[in-house]
Amino acid sequence: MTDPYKVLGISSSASDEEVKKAYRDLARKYHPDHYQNDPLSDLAEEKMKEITAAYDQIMDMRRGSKANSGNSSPGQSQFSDIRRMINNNRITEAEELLDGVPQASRDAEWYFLKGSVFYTRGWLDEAYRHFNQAVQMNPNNQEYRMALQQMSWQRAHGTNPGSMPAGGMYCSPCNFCTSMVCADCCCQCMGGRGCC
Amino acid sequence: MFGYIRPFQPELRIKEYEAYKSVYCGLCKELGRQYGIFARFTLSYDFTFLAILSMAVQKDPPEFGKIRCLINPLKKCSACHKDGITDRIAAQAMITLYYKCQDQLSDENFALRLPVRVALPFFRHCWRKARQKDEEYDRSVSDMVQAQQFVESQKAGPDPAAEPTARYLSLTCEALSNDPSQKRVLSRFGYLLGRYVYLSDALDDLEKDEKKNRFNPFLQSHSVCELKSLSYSPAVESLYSTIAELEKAFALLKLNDWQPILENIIYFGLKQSLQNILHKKEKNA
Repeated sequence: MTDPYKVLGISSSASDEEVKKAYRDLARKYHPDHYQNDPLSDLAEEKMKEITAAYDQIMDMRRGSKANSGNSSPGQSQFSDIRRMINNNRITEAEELLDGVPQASRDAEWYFLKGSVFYTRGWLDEAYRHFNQAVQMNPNNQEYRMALQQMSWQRAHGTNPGSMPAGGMYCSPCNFCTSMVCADCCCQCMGGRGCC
Repeated sequence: MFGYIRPFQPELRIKEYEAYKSVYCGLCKELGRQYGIFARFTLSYDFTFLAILSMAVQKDPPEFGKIRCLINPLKKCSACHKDGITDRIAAQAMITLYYKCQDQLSDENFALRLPVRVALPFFRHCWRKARQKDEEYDRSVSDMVQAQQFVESQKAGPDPAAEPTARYLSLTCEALSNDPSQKRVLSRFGYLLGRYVYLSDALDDLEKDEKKNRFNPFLQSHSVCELKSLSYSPAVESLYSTIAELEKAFALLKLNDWQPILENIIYFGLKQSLQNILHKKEKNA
């Protein structure tokens, strides 16, 4: 069993507030939203689980036991088999199938999936273009909007919301603001646990 | 590679700066020992970074020793050495240099070609020796050169044009670990790093490439003038998204004590290099 304090990068004498802060910082860094469509998302998820387990363990040790669990929502679409392939990193096959779809039946989902293929391969400009197209064709889809939002943020800032090296010594007033905004996001996404 | 992967010094702690320098000195010494004194002057930041990354994914720490510096022989400096890494990175640096010189011979005009032509037999000699140490690397560089010529002949945009360099660094980084999940992370990390290097170089060379009518991925859809009026945003945004993705892959690497230096390079150094390129353009304008 690994030391939960080591996982969070803090000493065992850290105060509850410090534990919470360390957890919040790391959760922000490895949050599934950052790694949406990312070919390494499974590793990020593992890391996230490890962090959450460590945090839970510490909190359990400190205040008796308390249970909690996360949730995720599965998606449905007409290209669901292609979507599954992309999720399993079978990119070449997925791309072949996508390219075989005639121009007339290329809907928002098609552009989103094609964008995901580009994204997985690291062709970030094309990915951005395709996500953009998907959102234009179906502005109400939350998933498309999130993917586009993430890339737009990256293209404007050259970083990910709230991601900075651990230790806090690189904090500037500006980072502080974005951190607060992101902490707020985390609060909402994760049902308010660990925050507020 | 071109020297864009470097630390942002103001944010380095002194011990990190010393450690970084000692890797640089260790590599310089190794180049001198294996390939002669001239090879020492060819060392770039990029290979120092690769050496640190190699050490960072390993379990055993490297050795530190004192050597005399060639530039200032009166001063002793610390040099970091690790068997299997320092010699391999030195070989990789020489292999890359040789291919880069060949590339320049076909690119530059006569006056610029001359010194390269004079030095080429020496580099070829080093290359022959270095190639035996890391044949796999030699193959990935020569594949890159070929693939690069192809995408240039296709007048490709930024994504496909960056692919050869990205793929080459992806293979190089992937080879640094034996752990399957770390290999996956290193592969994407290397890909994005290669993409960053290639696109930075393309942005840096915009004006030169337009003047000499050479291939540049950003000039396929805009002219230099148009890009300038857009504050180079197509290139900057592409590089920014590359850096952001790079940070995400980096966060998943399992690293040892070298992590803070690498963090400095990834989180600050890369963006600083981009700012330097843009400042240079502003100054020349």
